[in-house]
Amino acid sequence: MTRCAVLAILLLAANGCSGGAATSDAAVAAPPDPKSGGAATVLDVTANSYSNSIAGLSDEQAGDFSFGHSIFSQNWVTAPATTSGTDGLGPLYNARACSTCHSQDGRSPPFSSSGGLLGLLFRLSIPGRADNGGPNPDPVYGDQLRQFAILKVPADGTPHVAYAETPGKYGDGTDFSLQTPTYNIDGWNYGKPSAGLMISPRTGPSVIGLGLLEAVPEEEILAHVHPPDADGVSGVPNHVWDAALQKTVLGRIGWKANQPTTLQQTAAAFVGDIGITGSLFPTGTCTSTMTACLHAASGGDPDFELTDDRWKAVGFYMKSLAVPGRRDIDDPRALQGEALFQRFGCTSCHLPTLHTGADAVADVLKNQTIHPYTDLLLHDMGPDLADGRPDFEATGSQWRTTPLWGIGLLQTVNHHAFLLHDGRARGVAEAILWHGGEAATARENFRLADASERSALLKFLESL
Amino acid sequence: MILTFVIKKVMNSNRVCAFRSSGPKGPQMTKITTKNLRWLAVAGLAAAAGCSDSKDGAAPGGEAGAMGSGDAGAGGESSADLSARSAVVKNYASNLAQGYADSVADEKAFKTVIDAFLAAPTEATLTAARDSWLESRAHYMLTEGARFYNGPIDDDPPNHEAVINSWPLDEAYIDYTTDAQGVVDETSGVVNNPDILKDITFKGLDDLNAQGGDENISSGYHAVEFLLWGQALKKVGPGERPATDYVIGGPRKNPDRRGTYLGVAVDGLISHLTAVRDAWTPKAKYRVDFEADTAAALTNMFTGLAKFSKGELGSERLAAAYKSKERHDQHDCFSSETLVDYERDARGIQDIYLGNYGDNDGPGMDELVHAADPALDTKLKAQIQTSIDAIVAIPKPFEDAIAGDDDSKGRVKIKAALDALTAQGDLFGKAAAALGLTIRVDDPPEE
Repeated sequence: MTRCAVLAILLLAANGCSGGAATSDAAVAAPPDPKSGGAATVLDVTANSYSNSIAGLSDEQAGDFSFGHSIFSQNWVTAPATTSGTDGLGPLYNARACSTCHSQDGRSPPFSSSGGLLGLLFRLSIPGRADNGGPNPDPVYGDQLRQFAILKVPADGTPHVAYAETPGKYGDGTDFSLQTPTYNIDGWNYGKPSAGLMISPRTGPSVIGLGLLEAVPEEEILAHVHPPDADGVSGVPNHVWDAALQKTVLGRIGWKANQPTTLQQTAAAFVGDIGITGSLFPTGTCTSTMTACLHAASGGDPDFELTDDRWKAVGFYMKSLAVPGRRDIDDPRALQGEALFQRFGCTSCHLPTLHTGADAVADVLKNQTIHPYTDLLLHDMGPDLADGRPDFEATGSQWRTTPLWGIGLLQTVNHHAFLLHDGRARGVAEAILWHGGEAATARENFRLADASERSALLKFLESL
Repeated sequence: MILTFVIKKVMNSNRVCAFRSSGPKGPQMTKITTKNLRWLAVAGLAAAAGCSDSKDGAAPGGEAGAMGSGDAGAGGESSADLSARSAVVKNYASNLAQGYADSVADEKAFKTVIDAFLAAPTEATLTAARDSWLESRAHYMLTEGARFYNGPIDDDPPNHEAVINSWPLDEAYIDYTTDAQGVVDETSGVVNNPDILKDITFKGLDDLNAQGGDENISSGYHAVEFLLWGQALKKVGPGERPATDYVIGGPRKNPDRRGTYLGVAVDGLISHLTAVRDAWTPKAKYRVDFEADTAAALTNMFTGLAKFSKGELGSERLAAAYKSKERHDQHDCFSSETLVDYERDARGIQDIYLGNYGDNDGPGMDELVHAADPALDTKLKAQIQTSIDAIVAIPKPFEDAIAGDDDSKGRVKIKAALDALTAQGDLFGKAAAALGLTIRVDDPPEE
């Protein structure tokens, strides 16, 4: 059976069977569905639009949601503290709270108003693979640069970001400019890192709709896996280590689909970004030569710094954050842009429609038709976006298709428009123009389109 | 009658509106045109969607934005109504200005007690300083119902509130600590590390804090509280920091730097409270703009009371602790005086609603609600009193009440209080709707 045949059965629609010219604009002629997250959608266009709970929570679930929100936005402090439920920060850390990088459940800008790193961190590894198949951590610095530490413990080092403008032209001669980042880390406090150190800059993405993405059955994701087609677009899954199941499973969360579940992603971020250990990752991140780090007090005595109750509440919170509904569904320009989005080939990877199954943490997440605009698969995005750092089965130039739902509200929620894995793009147009590799054809279709079509496409994306 | 017709016409046009509060400028309308919004079924948002296409009139005069114009005809208000509303807004601003002015005065009076303590640190002067700390928060707590609408207290930046009253505090960042085994670490904290910060000044602390991220964890009322009481190491009861922590030649290192930190922390409070006070003085731009747009001001006033009741006092300060069962998951964890402050908070909400402050009994928000829906006003007043009574009924201290099974007396009382505050927040939402205002009770505050 061909890929498209499978798709036709699954979706009863031609969407996603790219093939460019074979797809007509008629496929999107039906009125668009404003319910981007199915029953887990909330119509909200305010700064709070990423922070609504899904409908239909029981009293107990609503309590977990509130508790999860409280923990998500609470600062962690150095141990030992009187507030023993919230101590154990670091010793090395990137942020004091989840909400530091995921402000308003969205994405914080890469840098704060004072210029310091805010929503951006740097993953590290050296060639080879860890025992679980994941990135091979630097023996001293581990798999992440922590630019902050509690008092009297040296931080890992100091990252530096510089941008150079790279000019370009649209097909109609209009100029644009992209800022090309260079990353450098100095001030290494525990000696030089290993030769061949690989650095992957990553911003914290918004956390909406995770319960839906997690509820998409594996078969539906794998149905879109395919070798390169005529446009050069393929789609491959990542397979990653599930620390709870102690086996390799399909990856679906994160910039490289490098985490299997929201709960594991949450636990990994707590220990990696904030330095808060829990039952899934009980060991801190100080390595053997980090004397002060190793000797610093740990929090949460006698329990873990992150108790299972809190961990699960935060996980539930994120999985039950609703998706903001699509706007402007009867705006002709947005509809034209939607048709172009398909004709340009964007929907080959930014798949408009997926379906959730019967296994989810809340009823309204189950059996939904959703419009995340992702296939949750990896695609080679070309050398310009490559981080050169493999992550499980993802190569140094592959990235997971980013969900686009809610993208039009980023400015409202987080007051900026920095996009892509490292926040280099200043708005949606620049993000598209950075696309390469498998997306080069789609990007060129956008770049060479006339100004009216380009703005219609952006209008469509703004409506998501 | 004509005005009712106007509103109905607006509603029949199927416009659905939402807005975000944006400080003194008030609601910004964003219109969405879509014909089928039945799936908009989220609790809270349903109440918030005052401009929905509902035909049952659940949100009378739902076009909050139209009222923002200050045009009597557009908003369905007579000039007498507008005058009454304006009087309520002005009385609110006047009371709040007095509340912040009193908070500054409290803090200055407190500073003289701190100076006396630092000049002669004894158990007697320490006790006086602790008593004065608790007293110094009395007026500030009454103002907390005026948060969460990006007013001078918590507009970010500069976010004075985060410097004034942030919690939890990073104790080991400030001073020595004692672990669960009773081992004292006298090497921790800015106090004990001149190499990290040579001169303890407010700017120095601020700069140092920024190096570890942007969050405020080392200043404000609770930093002062920690420096006076020390860590609360027992299951029940306040910290037991001895006065000798501040005695040169006493048993603890760096008493002089500890004293400097304490003084600087109080100065910082005075400075930030003063900035908030000044924004509310009669001629200040914020105050003038606030009073000029009555609809926006009332929207903010109800938003503050609703969110502070439900999201902050009910959820963050009570429900989160109720869930975690952590004894010291309470804002005055060092002094163990949390319930005193929560009661003040609840009484502050009552005062704001009634238009009262100190001896002043001015036109209150209750009078507007009463005119629109007398039964709702009666219900809301009763609910506010229920919340106060519920907080008063929690057996002290909080760390004792929070522990145990859910049917223990303390937890039953805490649950009753958080339920009362939740209901109160929702009633403020209904009261706002009765005035034709749309507020979003359930939005979490911006972080």
